[in-house]
Amino acid sequence: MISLEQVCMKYDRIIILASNDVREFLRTLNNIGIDAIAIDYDPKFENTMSYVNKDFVFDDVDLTADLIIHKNVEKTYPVELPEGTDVILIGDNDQHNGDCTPIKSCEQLISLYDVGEIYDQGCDEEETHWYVYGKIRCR
Amino acid sequence: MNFFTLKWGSKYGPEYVNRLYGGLKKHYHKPFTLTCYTNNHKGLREEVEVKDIKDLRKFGPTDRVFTYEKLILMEKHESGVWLDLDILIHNDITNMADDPSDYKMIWNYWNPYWMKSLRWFGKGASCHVNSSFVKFDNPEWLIKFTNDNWEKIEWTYKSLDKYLFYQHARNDRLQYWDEGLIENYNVSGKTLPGKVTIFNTSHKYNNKGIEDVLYELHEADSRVIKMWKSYD
Repeated sequence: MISLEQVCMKYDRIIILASNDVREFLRTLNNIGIDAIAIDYDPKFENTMSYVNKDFVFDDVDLTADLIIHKNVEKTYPVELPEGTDVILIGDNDQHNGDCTPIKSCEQLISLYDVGEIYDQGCDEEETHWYVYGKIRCR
Repeated sequence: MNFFTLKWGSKYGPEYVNRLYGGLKKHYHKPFTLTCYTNNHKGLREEVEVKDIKDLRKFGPTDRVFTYEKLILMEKHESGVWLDLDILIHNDITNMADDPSDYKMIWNYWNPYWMKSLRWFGKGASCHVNSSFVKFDNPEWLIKFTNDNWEKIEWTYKSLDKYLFYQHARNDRLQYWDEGLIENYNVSGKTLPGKVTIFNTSHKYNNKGIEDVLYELHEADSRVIKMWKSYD
């Protein structure tokens, strides 16, 4: 799988979507001067440092960043991400309750989010978790 | 007061509609109508007004947002109360039906919020509201939000209740019946406290991993069945 830490070093502003608990990761990034935030609507992140406690699909949020890392893609509607932005998309086909976009391939991630340029892609050994690292196509 | 209900498919027979009417007749103490949106009016008592359920399928057939027809109902009728078929009214609901709220639904007080809902919130697997008994009075904000966001809503949510919970309960837009007015037969130990008892089971079939034994209204104990049949 891709090393998020290594990739993130190349960027100045990073947004992590549907992140769940990445407080340690955010702290590490912010400590070395990277402006990193997470957007997650789970109430447990209300008033948590570096978290925006909103639903990025339905609420009004600013997605301006150099890199957007979208975790748990299987749980969200495929929103239109800002064109020309680098992205890392990570999703699975574990079919948990609440999954609305089961991810079965890298090609599916590329198509859903209109990724134009691919830097890296792959899956885990069990071929259940997929990722794509690339750039959203300019329209 | 205008009451509304939905019936399609074969899960519930006409007796569910007819006894719902009988329950209203006994426990709502003002003039009322009951309109049933259905694809099969056979066996319905003549007091029940019948309409085609297709009238409520504005966004076409979908296997998502289960019972989204209830939302469209509010575009067609400015105010009223929508009722699920699988409820038993057993006490005076006049004040509830006449409640001035623009939108009031059920909060699942019988479930511990932290254990059952907050814990699973981030996984999209939570739901702590129930739309089996809803008073509405022209909730324009809800109709507009639904129309403006239908594509996302349909993609994201399996049921109407999940949509309402994640988008509107999360943003404190909903009002709820007071605790104790509406109970859940499958949780409350088969007693009938309050004014209305729901027998909802659909969440068991819409989600994996729910092992609870859940009873439909027609499978309830003899005391409940006797009361239900008395509404014939």
